[in-house]
Amino acid sequence: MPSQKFLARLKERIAERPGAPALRWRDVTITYSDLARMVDDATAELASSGLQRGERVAVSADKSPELVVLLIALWRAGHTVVLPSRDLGSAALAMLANAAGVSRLVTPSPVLSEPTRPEGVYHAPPAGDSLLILTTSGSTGVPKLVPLSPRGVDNFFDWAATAFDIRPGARVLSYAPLNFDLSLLDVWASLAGGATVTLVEPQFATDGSYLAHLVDSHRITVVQAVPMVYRLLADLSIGPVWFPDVQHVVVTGDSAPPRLLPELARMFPAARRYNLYGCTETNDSTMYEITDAAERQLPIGSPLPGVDTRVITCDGDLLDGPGSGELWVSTPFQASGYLDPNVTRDRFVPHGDTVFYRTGDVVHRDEHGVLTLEGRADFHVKVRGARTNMAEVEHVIQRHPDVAEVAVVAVPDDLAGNVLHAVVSRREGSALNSLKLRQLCMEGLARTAIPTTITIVDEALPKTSTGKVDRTAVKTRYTERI
Amino acid sequence: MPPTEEIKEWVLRNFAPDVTPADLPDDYDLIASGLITSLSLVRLVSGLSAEFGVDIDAADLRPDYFRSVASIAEFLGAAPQPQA
Repeated sequence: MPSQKFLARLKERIAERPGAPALRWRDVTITYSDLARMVDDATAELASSGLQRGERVAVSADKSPELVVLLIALWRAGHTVVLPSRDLGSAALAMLANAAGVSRLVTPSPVLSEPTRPEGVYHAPPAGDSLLILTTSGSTGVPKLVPLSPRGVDNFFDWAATAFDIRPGARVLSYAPLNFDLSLLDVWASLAGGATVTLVEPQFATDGSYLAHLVDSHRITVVQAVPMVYRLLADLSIGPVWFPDVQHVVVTGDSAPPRLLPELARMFPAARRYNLYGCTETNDSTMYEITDAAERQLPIGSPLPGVDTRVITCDGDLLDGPGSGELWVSTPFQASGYLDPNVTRDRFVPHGDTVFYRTGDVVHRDEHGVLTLEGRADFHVKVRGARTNMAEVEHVIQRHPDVAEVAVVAVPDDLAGNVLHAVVSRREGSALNSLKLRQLCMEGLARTAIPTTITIVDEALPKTSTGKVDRTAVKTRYTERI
Repeated sequence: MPPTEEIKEWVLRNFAPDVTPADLPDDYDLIASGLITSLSLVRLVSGLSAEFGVDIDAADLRPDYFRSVASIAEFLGAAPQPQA
């Protein structure tokens, strides 16, 4: 909860229960009074590091108590903090710092700050009263900067504390890195609520037995994590494990594989289980409580209290009742836009007094208003009047054992609306041809979804900086000559 | 009537250049496989007409006539030759 109210609440927690555990890290327990002392020390170090009060800074560091402490100290001194992904290389980090108007990089333990640019005037887009700027991955490869609204995070704190019983005595696992919005719940809502946060060590984050030991020995009551974490726990070689202390299990960040669901029920016999959907821009938006152990595709559920949703069909019409379309949400938690107002205009749409965020996700809404994810909006196009999911076409083609990579792209066409082109990179030495793939398409797809051209290539497909197939480059390289 | 092999080569050259004639069975369903769509049917027919010098009446644009190389061969064999 990077907000003035967060700082005020934390102060209250420190005064109320100074001896209560705030953070647990390795074998160390840091109480609320320890935390207060550490924040005071960091504040003193910051003052001697040459930082100007209120200066916008970036912090790129692995999770640790020192990082948590540094962030609190920075907010207390009025700094707006940009938390970039730890995966960014130094060149990408410098670019991001520039776009974010960051003047200094700050590191915890020891607290040091170094300028991100030599000198002079630089453009710093206003971030309002935001104290924390997160980034989103963005499918185009350029991270977008999201200044969180303090009022939004305060609202989120209130909701999360009630929904997951985050209060003194609660023990919350912090799995996600601090630059993920998930940490708003795991770390900041927990500290504001007087709970205990167990920090997962990043270097052991994919070690299932380490995680199981942590959840068990720290008697964790709240777990929020991506499906992969539950998979790691379910696949332990020591055999079936279960965690009777866990009261709330939150699956988020990705679609849960159906096979995981019976295992969730088994591993967390006393817990309420939820599928939680949201994005950095709006924070959590919809939730579905899982009340059975069936293997199935989980809905993302219904809007959280105070959340308004719209489903917009691919013709741009507002859907009334059941059906499919792009999900637009307006939440009490949301940012007022991106740091770059030009990007904001594309995704944040005013509608009367309400500003909706276009999620880019296609959902199906049933007759009870329950939402289920269908895919990304950019993957849906109309071909000869039929709504076609290009991800599904790729999926069908990918089934052929000789297919190494596939990209399906849509090219606008006067007659057909869109024409689909598939570009397939075949495995070395294979004799794959387009007829064999058409056979698969014929069996698995509607006629309109079968690509008009299937181009077979022997080289790897072009990639984005994050390693995903770059559809724009595929389109330019292979389809412009068709 | 043009030989089946010539029709096959022409269809592949225009609609699936990566495929060799030997890989395309005479009865392969060009329409169900999406190789020929309702929109590209016109292109197929006008191309065939120009390539093989046959007159095709608009009324004859029935997908079934163009469903496979075999059915195209049969159809072209039946189509009237243009007047000299």
